[in-house]
Amino acid sequence: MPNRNPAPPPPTFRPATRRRLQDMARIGLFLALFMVASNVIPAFHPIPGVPVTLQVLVVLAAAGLMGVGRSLLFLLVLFLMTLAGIPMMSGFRSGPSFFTQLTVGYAVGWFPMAAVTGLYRDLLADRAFLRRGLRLPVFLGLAAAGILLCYACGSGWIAFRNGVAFFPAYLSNAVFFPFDLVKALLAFVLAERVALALPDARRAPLRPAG
Amino acid sequence: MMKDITLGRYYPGESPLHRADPRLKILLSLLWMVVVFTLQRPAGFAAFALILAAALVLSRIPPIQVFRSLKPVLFILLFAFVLSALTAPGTPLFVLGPVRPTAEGVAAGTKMALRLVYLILTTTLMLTLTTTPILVADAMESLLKPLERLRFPAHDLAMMMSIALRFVPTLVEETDKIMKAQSSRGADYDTGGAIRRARGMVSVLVPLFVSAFRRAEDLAVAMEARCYQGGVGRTRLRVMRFTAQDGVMLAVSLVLAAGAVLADRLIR
Repeated sequence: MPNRNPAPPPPTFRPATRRRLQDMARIGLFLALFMVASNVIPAFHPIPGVPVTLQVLVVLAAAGLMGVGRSLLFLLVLFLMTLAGIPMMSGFRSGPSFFTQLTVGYAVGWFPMAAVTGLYRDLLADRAFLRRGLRLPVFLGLAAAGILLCYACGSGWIAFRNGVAFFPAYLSNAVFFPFDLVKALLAFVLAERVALALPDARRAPLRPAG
Repeated sequence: MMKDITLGRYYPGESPLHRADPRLKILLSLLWMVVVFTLQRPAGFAAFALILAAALVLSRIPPIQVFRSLKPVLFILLFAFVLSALTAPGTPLFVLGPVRPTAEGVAAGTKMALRLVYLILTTTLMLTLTTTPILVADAMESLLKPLERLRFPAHDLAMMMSIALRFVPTLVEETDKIMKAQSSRGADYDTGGAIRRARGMVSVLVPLFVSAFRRAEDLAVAMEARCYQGGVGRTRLRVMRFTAQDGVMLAVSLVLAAGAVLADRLIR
């Protein structure tokens, strides 16, 4: 049977660089980890309807291991998948309706959160001056700042949509802060252990392709 | 543990909605979103309910499957409704101490709740239940293709989605295996205090992340060894075609959408 859909020969052969492939593979695996964290590992509900899941943990670990740029790309793809109706978020939520929820600001807040936390990997993690004992407080400080920014996005959107005052709404997030700090701590342990197990994990690829 | 999580809540079947071009389904669900947000009056909401009912019949999916998608938002929905009913200014329906629900608040809350329900039901019917996620990822690539002229890496992003969907079952299996292995070594996930639980979590997550990173590394090497060069000149396993049936679906949808908007504007 003749091939009815023959491939046009590519104009020039340009294999993808090792770096590009590594980025694609890593972000892909992080997306898979995110999906596992949202819907496989059971959520626990301190307040009915508000699931505490490991989603934030995966986002923070992605920032700690891949840095600002790639963790933002990870989030962009995550949101595109959600928009297209692939059930990425907890409770299999997806589609355009995800972005009309009252609490969508918290998910959007992951962008600034990853951008701040990712600085740890980009600027600090492999520097000699950051002694071992200083790493945890520095990471936790950045992650806490990121989490507070994320809350600001979340409460800001709620305040805007429902016309309630921003500060009381913002303060009510305090209930969740301890949980999120524990997640930041877990993310730190994860990032450091993975970097220890795979020395290349946090660095950009050193060997050039080919 | 569920191994078919990559299928999401896909409900296999043979119906016009299952067969339609996934690109069309993504675009149409965006169109329906716009329509839902223009609705203001009862007539419009009723018209949209009729359209949804028609789509439900067309999809040949048991209604219970469709309505199940509302479960995760039920609490948020109720909370938002009550909040809106109690806080909006206007004439109170009744007064019970500090509880003064207003007619305006109830109307606004109903509208908001109905909008959210409609949006979730349309996405569920158009995408979640009738399209496999891997097809959605392919459709996304095809839709984002025009942006490649602006150096937007549409193919790479779609590849990341495919990699993610491909590896979810692997990781689920791995999570299961690691959890069993660690509990046989004394790890504890659901009893004891927060610290004990967090420890149990770490003992699962660290091997899971390390193995995910190893897999990513192996995959990158494998792609490089096979001279992977991106989307240029690549053939596809699943070729998407915009058929005559899709054309009919697009036309009917446009007419229905216009009908719903007009009903909303004209009928008081």
